[in-house]
Amino acid sequence: MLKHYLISTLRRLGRAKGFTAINIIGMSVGLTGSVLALLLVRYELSFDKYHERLDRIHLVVNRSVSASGKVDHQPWLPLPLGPELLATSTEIVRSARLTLGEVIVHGGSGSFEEDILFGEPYLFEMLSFAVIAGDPVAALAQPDGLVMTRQSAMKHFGTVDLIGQPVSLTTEAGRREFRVLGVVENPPAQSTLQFQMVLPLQAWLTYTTRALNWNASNTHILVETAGPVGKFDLTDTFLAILLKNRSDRAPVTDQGEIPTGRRYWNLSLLPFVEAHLSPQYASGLLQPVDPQNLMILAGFAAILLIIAIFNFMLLALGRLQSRFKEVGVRRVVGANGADLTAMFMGEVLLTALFALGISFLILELTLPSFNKLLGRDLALTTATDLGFWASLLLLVGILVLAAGLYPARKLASLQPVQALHGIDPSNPEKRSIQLGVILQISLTIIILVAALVINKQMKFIQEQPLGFNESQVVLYKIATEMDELPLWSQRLKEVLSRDSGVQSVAKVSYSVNRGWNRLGWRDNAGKPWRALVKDVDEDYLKTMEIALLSGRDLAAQDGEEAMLVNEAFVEAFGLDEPIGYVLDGFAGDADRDPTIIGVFSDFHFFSLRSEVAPMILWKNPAEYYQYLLARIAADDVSGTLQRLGDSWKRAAPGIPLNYNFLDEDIQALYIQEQKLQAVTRGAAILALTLSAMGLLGMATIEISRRTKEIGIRKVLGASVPEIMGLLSRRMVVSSLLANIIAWPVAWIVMQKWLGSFAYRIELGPGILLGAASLALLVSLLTLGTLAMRAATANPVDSLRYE
Amino acid sequence: MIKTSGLKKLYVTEEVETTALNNINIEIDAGEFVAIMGPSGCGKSTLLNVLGMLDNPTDGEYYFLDHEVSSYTESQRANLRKNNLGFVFQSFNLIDELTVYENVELPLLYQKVAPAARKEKVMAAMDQMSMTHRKNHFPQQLSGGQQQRVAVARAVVARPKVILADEPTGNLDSANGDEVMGLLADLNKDGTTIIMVTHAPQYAEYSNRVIHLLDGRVVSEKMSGAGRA
Ligand SMILES: Nc1ncnc2c1ncn2[C@@H]1O[C@H](COP(=O)(O)OP(=O)(O)O)[C@@H](O)[C@H]1O
Ligand SMILES: [Mg+2]
Repeated sequence: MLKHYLISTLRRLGRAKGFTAINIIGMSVGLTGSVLALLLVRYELSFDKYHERLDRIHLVVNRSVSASGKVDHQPWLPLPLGPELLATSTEIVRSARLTLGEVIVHGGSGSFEEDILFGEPYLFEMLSFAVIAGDPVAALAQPDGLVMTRQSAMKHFGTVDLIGQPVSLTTEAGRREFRVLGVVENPPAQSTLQFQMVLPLQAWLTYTTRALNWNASNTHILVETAGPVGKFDLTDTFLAILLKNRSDRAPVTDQGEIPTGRRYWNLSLLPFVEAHLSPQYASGLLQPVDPQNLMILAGFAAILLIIAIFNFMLLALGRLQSRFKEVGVRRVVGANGADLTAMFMGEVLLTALFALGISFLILELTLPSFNKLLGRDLALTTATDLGFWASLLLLVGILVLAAGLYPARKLASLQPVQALHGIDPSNPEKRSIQLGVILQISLTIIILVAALVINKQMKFIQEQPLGFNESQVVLYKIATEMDELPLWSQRLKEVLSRDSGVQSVAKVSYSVNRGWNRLGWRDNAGKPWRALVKDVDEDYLKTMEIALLSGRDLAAQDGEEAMLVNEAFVEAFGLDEPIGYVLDGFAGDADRDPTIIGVFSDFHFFSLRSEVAPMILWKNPAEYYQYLLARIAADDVSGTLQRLGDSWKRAAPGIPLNYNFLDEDIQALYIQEQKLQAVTRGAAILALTLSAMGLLGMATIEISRRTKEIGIRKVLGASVPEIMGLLSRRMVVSSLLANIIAWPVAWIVMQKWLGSFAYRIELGPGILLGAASLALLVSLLTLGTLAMRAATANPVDSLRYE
Repeated sequence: MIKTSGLKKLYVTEEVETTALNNINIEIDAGEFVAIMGPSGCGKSTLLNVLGMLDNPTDGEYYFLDHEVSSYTESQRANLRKNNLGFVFQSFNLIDELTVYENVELPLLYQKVAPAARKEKVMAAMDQMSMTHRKNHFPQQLSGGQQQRVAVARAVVARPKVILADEPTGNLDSANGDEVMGLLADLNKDGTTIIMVTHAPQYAEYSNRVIHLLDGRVVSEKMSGAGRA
């Protein structure tokens, strides 16, 4: 029986090649999307799972609330909190503080700048990183210990056999010898913590000055609890610690109420296993993903699959009549309803399995570029767990049932006589077919709206004036120890300035979007204020081409007593006369009272998701400038860069040459959105193609059913346009009705997405109408070619076509 | 074997109500060859469909092998059908996607006959209809007469007690028609009951009884050809 069904199904699929192709292609695209989403979601959900003590490991995090009620999520905490937690709570048994830095490694094959993790010994006991040699715990307990990963060991020394090997490192504290006391495997790709080398926390320059400082937040704290998650309520412990050490941040007053009008902290434990999916705690150390983006992706996959399901169902319903004779005959010779249902569902299953095979093929081909886009290493072959295959099976099951059950029920419920005589007892079928077409078009319109909105918003952001000229600006990093920064920043600035291709050079503490301090002062009434502060030299505005609105620019002879502020600053603090305004006790130094000497126009230094904040530019009193910004002439950029590189190497052979373009830096702020844009565009094109294919199939059925009618009408004198109109009317009506469903859904979803941008486009009727017309156009084009052929055919031919 | 009393069939559509069968009382014994005749639209096919349990009557009683089947569900009827009845139609009704062999095999598949026995029976039926040499052809590759012989082979393959044939010669030229009638007559000789609708008086001669219908009523029943002999 199985063989019989298989053979007859294969022959039938082979006969209706066009329809079979539409179904298989549609399903394979839908399945490909779904498998991708499945792989990705599974991948993101299985971060950090390999740590043996995972159920006891937590990050201490801070959900601080500002005076105005704004919530800020921070994994950065004061250094002394770590030991204090251990001392106060019996439930916290171990802790490891972690922070990030940069060093220059003077290895066997030259000097390289590397990111580095500073950590405490228990890091390697709490988390399970495989040890190759030595003892990483002991290494971090030594002041000069060093832990290397396989990758960094191979890169700098070409071997992992390094225990005891002295390594010369330049940290911010200067050049020093360390000893390799541990070599570990590279952290797995699905590890939240990524590192190349780990140094003892004590080796961190600011460690000693900050070890007791509760006012600076510059470490992550990893803790291990005495038992698994969920057993602990450390609220009281955290409160006691805050009351003792930072009572100004404790979330209670004497009356036990949450205070208003000041900032307070809410410390809590974030299970380490959740860190990867907690985008609110993103930091240099933690690079979590946003579950919302995963959901959007899964949503696209679902829509593609649903369109494929609709295609299949609609084509099956449309062609139901062509199966009547066969069903009648099978009935006559003894098939019952269950036999017929099984036969039809088998047909759907076979189609779905073909599609699955093809989608595996497509995946093999597309996974590399998809991985590149998302920065992941998804692979079908590594998906060896049962969960993945079970979900895949479930998915195929749902696909088969959703696509096949309704038409199968229709076929199986036919009475033998009706079937044999080709009588369709269910004329209302036409209505459900049309409803299906409408739903399918509306899904397409939703995706189109999403793609248009995302596209337009991205374009808007890219065209938005940033308030400075980001092109032709090169950012050079000066990777040397802190004490030498004043010397080298000045010397290299002179070197770069001397080149004829360079228009201007400025010293800055960091790039545009990084390195902002938040410093405060008090106004006349003694009220504290805070603003973002960046350290720059007197050539910054000129190099960045930021407009000076009033007052004067910083000058060479200015020191820490002069500062520039932006318009947002003037507005936020309601200064009528900003020039000459004095900021009392700036940066916590009672003797420091700088004066505002100029106001510059607002510029965007973070992503356009957020509004321009009040900001201050001033000279770094210690001249710790880590970067040089060079504006170069537009002609012969590569020649200039080459010359600058050569001069740099001659002038500072010990400082690695490390530069990038500012506009690339700025683009990087929108990397998430750009990925989303690429994925959405692809999904929209696929959705449009799939639904066009489905409509093509529907139109073929419709026209072949009406061939005779068309012939008669033409004999009676109907013109070609009249016949085209006749054939297209239903499609036009469906396309228009689809908007009733699509518009509200698309509007609500995309409005929510746009809501996360401070600077955003209006979601007006233009986009909705655009998507609607695009969908209509595609359906008309699809239908048009077929209708044209039918309408222009010789009437005698179409009449004979009986 | 077959007995109806007061059998009635109404077709109700939006515009009209057609009484296709009106108070049909007939009795057919095992081994008979009955021909049903009458003008177009008089209800011949409807009667055959009801007798063949492809359709339920609107009213009246129908005894098939002592089962009162007039209110059976489709699946109950399907069960009786597949074990007792074979059908031959004017338009052959072969499944295009199946070969000759597979078409003939179909009833046995639904009866869940074991593969070895199935093969034997299919080959025997095809042999009887002299279609063995065409077993791997598809219906479209055969002439009308050949297609009808395949249809007859399919009707007899499960050795049914009754064969119902609705104008089996209607789409055939006279040579092919004669041949198919010969096959049916042979089957009848071997003991199969045959009920056949036909327009052609010369083929009615093969039967031993002719039932004449007019506007859904039986107007006469007489012994004929084989019956008289
Ligand atoms: N499914 C149906 N729906 C409505 N009327 C039908 C149907 N089948 C047959 N009829 C009507 O019933 C009458 C008998 O039809 P039928 O048994 O096919 O006649 P015959 O086979 O003698 O030509 C005719 O008037 C026909 O139009
Ligand atoms: Mg008839």
